Amino acid sequence: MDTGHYQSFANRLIDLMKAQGFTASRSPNGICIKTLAGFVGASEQICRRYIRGDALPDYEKVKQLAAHLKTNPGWLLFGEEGYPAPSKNVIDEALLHYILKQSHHLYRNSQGGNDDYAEFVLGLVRDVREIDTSKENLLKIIDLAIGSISSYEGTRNKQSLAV
Amino acid sequence: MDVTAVPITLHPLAEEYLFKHYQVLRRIFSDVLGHLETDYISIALIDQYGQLIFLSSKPSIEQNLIDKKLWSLDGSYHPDFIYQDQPNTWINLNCIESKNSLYHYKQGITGLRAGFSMATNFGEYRAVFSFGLKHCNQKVHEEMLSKHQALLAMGKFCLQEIIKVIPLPNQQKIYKFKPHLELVINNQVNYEKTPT
Repeated sequence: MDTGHYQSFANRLIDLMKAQGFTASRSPNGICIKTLAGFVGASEQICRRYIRGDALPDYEKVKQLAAHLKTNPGWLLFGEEGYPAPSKNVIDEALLHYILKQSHHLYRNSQGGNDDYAEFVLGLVRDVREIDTSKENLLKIIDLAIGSISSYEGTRNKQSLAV
Repeated sequence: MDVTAVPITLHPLAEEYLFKHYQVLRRIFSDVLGHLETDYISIALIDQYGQLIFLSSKPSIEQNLIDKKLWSLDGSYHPDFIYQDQPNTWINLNCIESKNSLYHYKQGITGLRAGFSMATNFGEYRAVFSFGLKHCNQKVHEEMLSKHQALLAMGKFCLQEIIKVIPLPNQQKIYKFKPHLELVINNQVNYEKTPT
């Protein structure tokens, strides 16, 4: 019965381990506890508690686990059940396309040239990659950030005219 | 008036402000990042009504804190910390219940090994300056706390540069009312009944 305090974490861990073939037919949850113990460097006893949802590994162990299971630690800790685990540190190609399409023309007349543009896109991609929100929200954020180029260029032009 | 009694709320424009001035903030913060080992600077401004906005070198952190409703659990934005002047480490400021979630969004995703916050007055505002480091050991950790005046000066310099180019939201309490509908029947007339 699912009664542990950390049951949703346990469910995600079990699903992911099963999906990646770390199974053992004789284990009650079908998970190879020995493999799990190896991943986090903890005893099999504590790993059984993780699987029952009775204990939550500390953050460093969650990170190790996520690295072995090729997922992101945030999904293991807080992901929604039924939604697939996201792959690590990648940006949706459609979002990258959107950023490039919306921003490139704003830098045509920029005083800083291509370096400025490359730095802006790289910075925004890094930020967007780290934001854990819906795609609709990400698009709004990208629009706001891109809109900031025009106001920045306006301020810079005013300053150079004043000089 | 006991200022700590004023509850801290998110300014209605706080989320929009994170990315509305993205390019300007990026430029200003990039001039100082790297000095004193810093990899991240964030400034939280709290007005007299307790409304908070963030100005950050890495707004993805604050976006996640707002989106996951974690900012109010972060000890850096708790009145007890805001209205005093001693610096403190993030690890000491986070309460046990939200420790894992805050660590994940502030340090796990970003690779920041340690962080400090300190609060001070800035004009009509109370400002909380937060600094994050990617490379940190015990020695650096102790040095950073001892150099907090230098860090504070760096944070104030950034804030002065920012207010030269970015208008801060004006200090008026913005109330959010829920729409309220009321049925008004105009043509209802209560005639006096005369006994027959």
